Amino acid sequence: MPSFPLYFRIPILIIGLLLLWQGIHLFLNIPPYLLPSPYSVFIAFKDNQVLLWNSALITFNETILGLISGCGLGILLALMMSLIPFVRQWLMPIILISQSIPTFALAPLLVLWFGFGISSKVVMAMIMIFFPVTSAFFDGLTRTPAGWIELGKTMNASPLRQLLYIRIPAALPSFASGLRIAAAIAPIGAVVGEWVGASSGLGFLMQNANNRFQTDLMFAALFLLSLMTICLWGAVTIATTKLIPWAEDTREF
Amino acid sequence: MVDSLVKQQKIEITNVSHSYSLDDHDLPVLEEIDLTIEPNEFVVILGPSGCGKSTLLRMVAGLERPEQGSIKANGEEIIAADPSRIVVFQDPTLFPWLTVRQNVELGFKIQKKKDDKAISDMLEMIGLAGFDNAYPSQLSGGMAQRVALARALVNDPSVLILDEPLGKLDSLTRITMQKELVNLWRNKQFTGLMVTHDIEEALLLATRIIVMRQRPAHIIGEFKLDMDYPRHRDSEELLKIRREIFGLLGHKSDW
Ligand SMILES: Nc1ncnc2c1ncn2[C@@H]1O[C@H](COP(=O)(O)OP(=O)(O)OP(=O)(O)O)[C@@H](O)[C@H]1O
Ligand SMILES: [Mg+2]
Repeated sequence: MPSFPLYFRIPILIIGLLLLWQGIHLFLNIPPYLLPSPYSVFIAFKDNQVLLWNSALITFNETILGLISGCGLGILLALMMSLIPFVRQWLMPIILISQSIPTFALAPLLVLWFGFGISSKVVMAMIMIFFPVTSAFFDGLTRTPAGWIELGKTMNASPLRQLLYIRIPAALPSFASGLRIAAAIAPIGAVVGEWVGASSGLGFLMQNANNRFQTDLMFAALFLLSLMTICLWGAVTIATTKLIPWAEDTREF
Repeated sequence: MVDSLVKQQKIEITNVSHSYSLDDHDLPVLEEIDLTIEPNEFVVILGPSGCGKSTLLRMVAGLERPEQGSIKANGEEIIAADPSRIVVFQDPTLFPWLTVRQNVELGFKIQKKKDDKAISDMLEMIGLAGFDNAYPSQLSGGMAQRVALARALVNDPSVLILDEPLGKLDSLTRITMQKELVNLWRNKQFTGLMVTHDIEEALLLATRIIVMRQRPAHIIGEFKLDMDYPRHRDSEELLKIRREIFGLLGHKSDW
């Protein structure tokens, strides 16, 4: 079997799936409000282009802001936990508890606290994102190979210098995998926030379309959301492999 | 020269015993080790695998404390790692995110020193000039090991602790590196403490060879070698010592 590059496989996969979907649709004669055909989704996309792109832009902004603040929080927590035993002991359970709360339950509260505007969505995305970042980065910080740490000790490195020169660089590959997960789930965070209370954005658009049985528009919005997620993930992956070339990556995409 | 006299260290290992706990039983690793290393000696330790050689080296480096006995440097108990006693492990443990030059420079950086010339000279000396900007992943095993040596030596240690530093190299690179080690040791005036599995290597490098028995390690033989360098591996004297060491390590038949 010849192996095809990723940028070749993705379009083929998408086109293939769309054709399959259209075929099943024609064959089974499904009513459009249950499942629209790809063609009608395309028409809905064309008819609502401006609305869709504007909504996507809003969601994109929320996602990026959420990603930045979530990563910032994640990095900060991981650093504090690895440097200060007290913080590690008391913060870890809190962080774990915070992850057991379903984000959907939290969303209405956030809207109450932060309003219908962009901030409640950014906070929502941030809450979803910081955990994979904290967890992966902290893991990386605590699993520095013993030989490197000992080398630092023989060079008389203070804990802070050890962190700066050895443990942080050694943890960057782990951090990068946390960041990739974060990039993949960040848009969901923003959309969940919009779903519960917003006046714009893809989530808002999807919820409205859903209520009005405009399933085709809903799917068009979903398509944009997936596109955004893939692009974001791709950008983060490319950036991290460029910036952290020593993280040996033997995977083949 | 006054400086190098001051920095010299006499290592005294007195009655050191140590055991690890392994699966909730005690594993005695070192038993009543007594060894004094004078400044500028090159002591090589030989012994069966798993007997406790690395453990002893780690203690001299200050990375571990013995359960019993004492290890002193110039009369002072060794309680922590120190830049004056640097270890080179079998694995080069270079930092993959730093270039060759940055790896060698790291000790300076951590101690907020700057001396570009010392780094350049060192790279020159180990034959890696021109590889300043290469990353560890771009080096061969022998080159990486030389960088590890350079990184240790540039800090001007008074004791260089070598734990099978040439173990992973092919035999030709190994011979080259052995020559380089002897030269470095003679130029730089440090005390050498080295573990190796290779009796030949011990015979070519050491001013004194220590033989240990299987765990718990205990010194069962000691050989002083006062021949000049470079040594000839077929010399009658070396062959005689070699036979005795083989005997001590349990290979009575002579091959
Ligand atoms: N941290 C540890 N915990 C428990 N046991 C250990 C630990 N480190 C070493 N040991 C045990 O101590 C013994 C001696 O180990 P050491 O590494 O000193 O051997 P060695 O003489 O250097 O062997 P080799 O020549 O194979 O490198 C081994 O049996 C090992 O299983
Ligand atoms: Mg060992």
